Amino acid sequence: MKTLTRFKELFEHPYQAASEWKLHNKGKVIGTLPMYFPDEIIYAAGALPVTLFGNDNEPITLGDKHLMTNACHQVRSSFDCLLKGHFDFLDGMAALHVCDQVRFFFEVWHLDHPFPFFHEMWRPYKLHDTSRSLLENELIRLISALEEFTNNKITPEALKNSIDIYNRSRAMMRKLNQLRSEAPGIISAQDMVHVVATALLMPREEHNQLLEQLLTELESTASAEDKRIRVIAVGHPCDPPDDELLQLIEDQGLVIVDDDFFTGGRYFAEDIDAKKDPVKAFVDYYMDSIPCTTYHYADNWKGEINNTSPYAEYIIDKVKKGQAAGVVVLRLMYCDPLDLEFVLLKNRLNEENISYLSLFTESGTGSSEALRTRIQAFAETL
Amino acid sequence: METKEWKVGARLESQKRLGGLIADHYKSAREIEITREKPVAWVSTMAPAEILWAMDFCVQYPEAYAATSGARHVAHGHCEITEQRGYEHHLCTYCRNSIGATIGVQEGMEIFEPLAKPDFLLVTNNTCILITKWWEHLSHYWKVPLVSIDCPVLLPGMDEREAVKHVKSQCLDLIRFLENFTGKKFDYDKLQEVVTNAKNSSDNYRGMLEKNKNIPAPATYFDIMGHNFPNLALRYMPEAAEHYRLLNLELDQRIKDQVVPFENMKYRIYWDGLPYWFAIRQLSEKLKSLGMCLITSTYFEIFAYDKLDPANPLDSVAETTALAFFSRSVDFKAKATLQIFKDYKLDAGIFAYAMSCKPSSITMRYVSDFIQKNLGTPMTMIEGDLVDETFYDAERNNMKLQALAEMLESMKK
Ligand code: SF4
Ligand code: SF4
Repeated sequence: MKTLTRFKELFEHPYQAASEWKLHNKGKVIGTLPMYFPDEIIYAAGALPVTLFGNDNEPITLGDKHLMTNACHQVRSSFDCLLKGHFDFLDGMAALHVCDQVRFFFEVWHLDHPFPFFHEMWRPYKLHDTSRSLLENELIRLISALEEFTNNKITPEALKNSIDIYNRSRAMMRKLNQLRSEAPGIISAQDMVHVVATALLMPREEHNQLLEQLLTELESTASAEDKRIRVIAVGHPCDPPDDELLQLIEDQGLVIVDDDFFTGGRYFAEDIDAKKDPVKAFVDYYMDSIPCTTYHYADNWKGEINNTSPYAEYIIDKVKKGQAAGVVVLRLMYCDPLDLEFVLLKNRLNEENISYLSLFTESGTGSSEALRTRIQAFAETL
Repeated sequence: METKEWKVGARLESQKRLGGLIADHYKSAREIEITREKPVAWVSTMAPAEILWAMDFCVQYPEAYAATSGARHVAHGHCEITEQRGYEHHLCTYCRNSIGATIGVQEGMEIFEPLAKPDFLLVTNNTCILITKWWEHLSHYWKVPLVSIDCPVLLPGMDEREAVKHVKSQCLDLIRFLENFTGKKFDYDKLQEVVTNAKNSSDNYRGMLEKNKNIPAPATYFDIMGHNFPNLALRYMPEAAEHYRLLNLELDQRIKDQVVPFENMKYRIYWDGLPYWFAIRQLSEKLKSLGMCLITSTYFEIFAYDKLDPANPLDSVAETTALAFFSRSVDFKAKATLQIFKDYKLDAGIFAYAMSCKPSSITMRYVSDFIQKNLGTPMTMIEGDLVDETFYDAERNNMKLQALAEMLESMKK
């Protein structure tokens, strides 16, 4: 399919579209670290937000000189790219502190390799009303910093417009996901990741056009019945999972009908409410967020009740809604939030009699024989 | 350093008193566990424990317990239990130690005297984010309520007063929760009394740290590190301040008499990071043999509650929690460390990477480079872990320390 090929090309050359945009528009490009940075606000300032993923195809040569090897690949590899000059086209960097690694690495990045614009944003870890006003201050601080840097006023209208564009993008992604759930195999897992990841790498309006085109193409495609076993894929909190690994999973008689990747279901799960005051709408977005491994749930214990991990319940709900037979957990090596949450998740999956397969992924492990055997064995148990 | 006039002192007298204070603390907690005369809370190091002491809780510290487990060489056993349950090897070993010990108690696999069981948990994320997840897991295992206080990272441009306000409002939530939990009204006079004691203790603790500004230093880092405990866990009672008062008198006497902790003390060294608890003796012997005296560390900032103010008990507790050293940026930490190098007239730095504690390790290289650039002092980076010995390569680290000593020697010539 033509449009899918286009998404694949864009995915394989992640920063090309942004560099071209910069050349033609003489605008500013701001790199953001996954996850959850309010890209809409950057877009409303007339700049282009680009999410910085590491590079799976390149061995880390410079990053490791500075950072410990038991940091997650996403962080190490993006630092490596930075030191190798792959991010030289950027005018600025911004990140939200989603985890300790992002927090501390990001600080060092800036000091090691300063950019004209650099912004760290705090987000509450505890979803509690007391945090609302401070979060609102943080959003206002971001808006002012961007206004100063770009020399553009971020008016409520500009913000609303930007939110609309991004909401439309997410709505189309949800539609695509729905199609995949109804007609498994209509889009492969890696193509699905390409679609979502590329949205984070290029002007969203352009991406919306492509996505619209893709939906039209798919809606007119008659899909054959897919006999593979329906599964949900979760994990990879920040960077896109390996193409080959996703293919390996879907080649072993399994079909991914929904996922919780950041470059997937997690990204388009929720919108920013375009009807509200924009800043308040962002506050609500964060505070009413879907459960995430990077949030802290203080009142989990709930006495005797089994409901101990909102994240686990969220995934179980996905399994049920997706009529899936099991869960494949793709665990990026050295991701502390996911590794800690995984223990609670697996306990709940066991209680619910939901089969799961936990696979560690480091770059380059994509299609190893050992992985194939494990996936096959899992598929057989289903 | 001119070493001729110096006399080598025996072990500090205060070590004995410290041992007694620690033993009493744990003994009384174990009694309380049986009598249930007051609730037991497990609390993170930088949390506003003053509020719990004012509510007459028995406060226990899982992080201190992890350090003890490391020093007693039992942490690895605790960590292994967690690995069988799906906790990964790279995760914070303080966390894994605590969860492993918990599972050990609950499933009859106890390998070391456990902490008194908790009725309540309190955590703050002003050291790192991971710790809140650790406490979440504790609340699952113990099935007891957890309150957490979310402390914003103090980013450049952020209004610190807002951060304090935010933490204070969560302290008030905590108080409301505790009133409900205990059925008792919160006693603000008691809080003031606790804060007064804690402030006295903290001032004396700071005084203890500063004694090492003297040349020659009256004590090594290894001599004083254990004395963090009273200011952490006992500062609510007058005995803590009294302990430091007596210790400071002892150190003053040493300064007056030019008494030093060991012979052939040549270099004044900074230590960055948390201690490698299982390797204290080995490291202390090694450094001694190289004439290197560890003088101080920003690690001690964890236990310095300088902002407490009896005139504004709750506000100052909130401020202490919100404006913690470890909530600050690496830039701030680098400048503060530089100042320490100047104030303490340090000759070199050892940066102790802890493989499982990413928060304390990730920014080390930057801080080390920053100081080197500014002062030209040599630095070395060693690798290990807080409590898990499997990450430790003594030979490799010894070689690095040796190289540092040689560098210092060559700089003298
Ligand atoms: S993958 Fe995990 S550890 Fe790495 S940046 Fe994302 S949340 Fe943090
Ligand atoms: S990761 Fe480090 S700072 Fe965080 S709880 Fe563990 S030892 Fe403490």
